[in-house]
Amino acid sequence: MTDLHPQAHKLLAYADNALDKVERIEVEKLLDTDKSAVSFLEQLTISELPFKDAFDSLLELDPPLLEKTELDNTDNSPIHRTVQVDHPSNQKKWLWPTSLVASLLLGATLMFFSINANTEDRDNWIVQVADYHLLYIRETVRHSHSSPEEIEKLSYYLGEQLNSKITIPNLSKQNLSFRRGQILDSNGRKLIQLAYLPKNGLPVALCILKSNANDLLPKTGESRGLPYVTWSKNGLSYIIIGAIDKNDLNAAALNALSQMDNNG
Amino acid sequence: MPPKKDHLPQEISKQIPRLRRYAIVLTTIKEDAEDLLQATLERAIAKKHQWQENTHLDRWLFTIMSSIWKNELRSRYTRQGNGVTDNIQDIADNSSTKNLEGTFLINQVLNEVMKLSEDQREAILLVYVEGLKYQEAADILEIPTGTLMSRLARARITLAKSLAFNEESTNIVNFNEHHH
Repeated sequence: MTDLHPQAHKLLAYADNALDKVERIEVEKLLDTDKSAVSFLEQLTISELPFKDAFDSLLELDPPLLEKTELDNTDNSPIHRTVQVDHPSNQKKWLWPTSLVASLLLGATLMFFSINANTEDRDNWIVQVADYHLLYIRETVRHSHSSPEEIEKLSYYLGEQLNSKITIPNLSKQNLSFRRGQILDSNGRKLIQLAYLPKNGLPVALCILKSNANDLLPKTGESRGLPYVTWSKNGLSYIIIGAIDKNDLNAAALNALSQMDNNG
Repeated sequence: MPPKKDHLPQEISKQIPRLRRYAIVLTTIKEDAEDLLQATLERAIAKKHQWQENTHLDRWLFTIMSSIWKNELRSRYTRQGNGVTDNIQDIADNSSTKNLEGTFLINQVLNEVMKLSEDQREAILLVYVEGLKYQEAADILEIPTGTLMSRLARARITLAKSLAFNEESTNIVNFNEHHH
């Protein structure tokens, strides 16, 4: 470890112009009498580098998310660069994997009938899901990819988390490929987020939350500028959300419901 | 003007480039940086009720990221075998970072800073890049101000020596080229 001058902090603050007048005079007196202090200050001066300019280059690495909240039809990067599913054995600690539960008994044809007004609780969690989703761009999930075996393992793991049977719907008919599952936090409750990627554009998420809400038929809506379809069944609330065409989103919800019914 | 809570997600999104930069400084690996960034954003959304209006959102986010990364390092240490990359050479050897490689290498300053220890890198970033005062940066890192200043001083001395060494090396190369 580099030995520091006994007055290193004062000298550093002097070099950084972070001292008041009186303190500067004190340091200058020190420099008049202490050659090692002069030498140390010289070293500090040598390393006065354009740090900000250098690091500002890192700001250019990816576009800010807010500029990509609209449909993005350009994708110049390979989607299948890595093959990995986010389950406990291979996931970083900070990205807790998760999954989907589902056994909805709703018929597909009931899809877009709404019979109940939203409760405040329901609105809150939908806004939270939208808040999460606003943070994601294509790059956030495109490097994740899962084999059928891995998806099955993930389903099992996620099912354990919610104490329910979990189905991760295959939404390939809507050109949505499953990328990963995560458990997020929604006011202290586990929020399962399944991320799908369309061929172009931003991700779509199917989220599941345990709740005490009464069964609700599917209802369309918009939160934070993002269209969604939400429903509740058997103590679980669901939402599928994403900046894609509303018809495509509805079709994806319908498909998800159908598979959950079949597997429930 | 500090952001209001109602607009927090949008305001958080605006901080993403700076957060990504901080994540790169901490992790040195692009994919790890993206994971850390995402975890930070998700934590911020989950804990948005804890953020106090009229305070600096960026510092709150930096604190979250720093905390998540420290926990991750502890976790890696516990798991063993997943060493933390502190050396730029390790980055260059990692194929997953090729997108970054060019960026690093074209900028000698960035290159030299990234060779420093993680503690020193983040101190440099917070004070000399983000423009925080010593005390403010120390608060984010949850360390005494004196510790932060020692890290900065050591970093600066290391950089000075490194630059001097590189200059000498360049002179030697030039000398040899001149005589061949």
